[in-house]
Amino acid sequence: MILSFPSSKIKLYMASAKPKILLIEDDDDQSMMYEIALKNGGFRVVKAVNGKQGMIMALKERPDLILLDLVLPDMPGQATLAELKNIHATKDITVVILSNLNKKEVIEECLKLGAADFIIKMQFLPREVAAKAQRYLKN
Amino acid sequence: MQELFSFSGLFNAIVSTVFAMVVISYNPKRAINRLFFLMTMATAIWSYGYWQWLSITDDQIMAMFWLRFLSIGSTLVPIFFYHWVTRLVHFHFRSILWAGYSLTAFYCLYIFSDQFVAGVRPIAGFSHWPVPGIMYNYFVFTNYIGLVFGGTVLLVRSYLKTSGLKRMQILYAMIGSLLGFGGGATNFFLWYDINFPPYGNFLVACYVVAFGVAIVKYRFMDIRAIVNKLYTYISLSIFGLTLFYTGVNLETAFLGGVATPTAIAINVVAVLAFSWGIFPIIDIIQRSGETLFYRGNSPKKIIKQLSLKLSASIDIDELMRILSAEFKQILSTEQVDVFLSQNEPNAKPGRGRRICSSILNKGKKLPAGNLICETASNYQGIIVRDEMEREGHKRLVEQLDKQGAKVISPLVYRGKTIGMIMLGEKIEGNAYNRDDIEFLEIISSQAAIAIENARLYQEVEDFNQTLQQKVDEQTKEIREKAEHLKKLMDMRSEFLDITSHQLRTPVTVIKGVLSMLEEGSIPPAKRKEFLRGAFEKSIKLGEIINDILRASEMDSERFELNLRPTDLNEILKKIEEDKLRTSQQKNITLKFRLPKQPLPLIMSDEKYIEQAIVNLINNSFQYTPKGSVTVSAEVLPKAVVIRVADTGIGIPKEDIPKLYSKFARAENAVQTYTDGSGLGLFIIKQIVDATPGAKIEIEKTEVNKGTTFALTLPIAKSS
Repeated sequence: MILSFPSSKIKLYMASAKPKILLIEDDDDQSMMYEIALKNGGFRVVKAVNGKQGMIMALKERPDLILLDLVLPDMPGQATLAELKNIHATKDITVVILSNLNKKEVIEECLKLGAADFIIKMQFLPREVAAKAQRYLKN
Repeated sequence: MQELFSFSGLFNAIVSTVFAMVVISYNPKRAINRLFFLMTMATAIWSYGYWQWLSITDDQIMAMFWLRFLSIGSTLVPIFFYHWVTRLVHFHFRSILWAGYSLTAFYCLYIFSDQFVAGVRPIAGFSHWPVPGIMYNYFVFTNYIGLVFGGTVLLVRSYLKTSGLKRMQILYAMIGSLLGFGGGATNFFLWYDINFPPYGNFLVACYVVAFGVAIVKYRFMDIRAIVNKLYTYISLSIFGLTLFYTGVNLETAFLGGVATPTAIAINVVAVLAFSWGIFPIIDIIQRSGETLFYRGNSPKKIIKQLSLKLSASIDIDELMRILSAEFKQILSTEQVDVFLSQNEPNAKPGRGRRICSSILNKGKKLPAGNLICETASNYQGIIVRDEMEREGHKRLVEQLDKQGAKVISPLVYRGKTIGMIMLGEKIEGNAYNRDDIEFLEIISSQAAIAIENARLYQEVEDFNQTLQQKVDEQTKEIREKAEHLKKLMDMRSEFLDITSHQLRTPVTVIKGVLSMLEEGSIPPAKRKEFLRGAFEKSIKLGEIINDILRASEMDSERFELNLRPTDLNEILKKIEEDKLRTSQQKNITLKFRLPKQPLPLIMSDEKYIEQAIVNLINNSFQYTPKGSVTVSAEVLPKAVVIRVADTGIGIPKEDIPKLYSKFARAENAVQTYTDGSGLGLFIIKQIVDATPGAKIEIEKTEVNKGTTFALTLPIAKSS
């Protein structure tokens, strides 16, 4: 019985196990844009519009990857990042900063806090962001 | 006996003649000198006759002749003396003078008669002493006692009234008359059978000397100095003589004379010992004299001590204190002032250029061109007021009297007059004597060096201080500038970070949406929404670019508004429509509370005033994470006030002043990145400043509670 476990079901499982990305972004236009692009890239996407909501979603959804904006209405992305890396349940989730802040100190700070990468939004098209996300997951 | 007195006559005659010549040659035009000359020549005639008369021991006729000859002199002396005194003390009571001259002339008629000198007889060792005639008695009474006494009374009276040089002159005249007439009067005793030889005759010469000094000499020898010198010589002579006679007596008694070989040998040794031992003896005598006459404070010692004190001080105030105290004590004057002279910086050519300012009396100054100041600078010698008066420097004397100055001693350093010491009258009213002047001369040169040193020291000190001050000031200035610059740089870098972020965000969306459209990766249902988002972002981008451009435009000097009556109602309506959507997006309640009546026209530039209000609202949105933004309007008699109140993060009090500057952000706003340009309030402020009657102010603000901005706009007059 066990051996006759249908491969289609496995495939279905695999499909349902598409990597999940948490997108923490306050700007509606960008949020929508990245959501579509990531979905097109083969991800499941969950969204949050501020840091606090992002934390809750991270705990609830256990995403494979978090794309984190830095300029958020309630708390800076750096604080959110620090929180994520501080909590046992979320500390192993790959966090990539997705921001238009191009400041050396901020980038260094984020990498130090445990971000896997720092993507300057304007320098990449949404599709390229999705491609990058795939690479982070493979690694 | 007789020879000795005869010699006194010769001595008096010589001294009198010499002094008469000296005084008349000193200034033959002055009446006082001429009278002195006459008086002294009369004395000389008397003395010459006296000498001749007493030289004769056996010729009665010749003795009588010379006796009558000397009487010419003695008859004339009292009236000349009296006349001279009236001149000296400025006593202008002519009738006594006329009476005196008349009486003298009258007695002169009798000189060669027996009525004046009745005869001669031997008395008390003199072979031909005169017997007075009847007229001689009258003469002694009226002239000798009357005129001489009268003159002396005038002298005493004047002595009590005057001061300074005059007082000294009169004192000398008094001493002279006392010695001369007192001494001369000792001759009368034998005339009237009183057995007392005319010892006083030796003093007559003193009267000549004293009178001569009173006229010719102006810097008097201090009597103390004379007495001290006499003391030294007399003591030394007594010492020498005592030694000599003791030696002679001893040698005569024990060695059988002073010329024996043993005595000569002893003498040689004694002379050597004397030559070797005399200097310490002189020193001892001089010191004892100083102790006696100067209470141990000889001028030399005082000068030495004062010099030491002066050279030990480099503080100018301390120097002045020493100088003033010592002068007051040594020269016994209350009024001491020290002036420093400086070149008047903006003096007219040809006029005096020196200003003398007092160090002791701060603020006291002699103006440029003051005669005292100029004279001291040019003459560089001690100026004695009384001398100046004698020499006829009327204007200088006037100036000196105005300052109450008796002596001016210039402070000369390396040929340059750096100032002067001004001394007032002596406390006893005496004149400054030669010792005083010498003392002043020495101390002035010492003081000049000390003052110059102190001045140089102070200059260096001042220079150091100024330099340090300048360095400090500049350091402070540089530090402030650097801090300011750093702040500006920080603000600028902050601004650039924010602005670049704000510029990138819309570009990201536009670029992203366009790329996805091209790829065809946007689901058709969502396409419209994507396009609207991109379009809005392009508008936002335009706004931000506009802000940046406007701010830099306002930074330039050409910025000017186009003021005209503007309808706020329409502007506010348009803003309300535009901003409602943003508020919905941001989940913030935007309320417009306007009066029911339309707002009056305001005087402003439509384009800019709209931007100002929009910026205020945007600003509130940016710093209000949740809650509401309320726009209201109030009409005042001359203005309309637009209020924008939010429930945002508020502004800390200390950040309010810098709020309107470019790139500035309140401390608590730094972390709050928004989609604004960061130039909102700066632009509003520029617009308000360029609109007459407009103002922007923060009506109230509380951290975490919210802020209310009030924008006041002037109502257009025509409406």
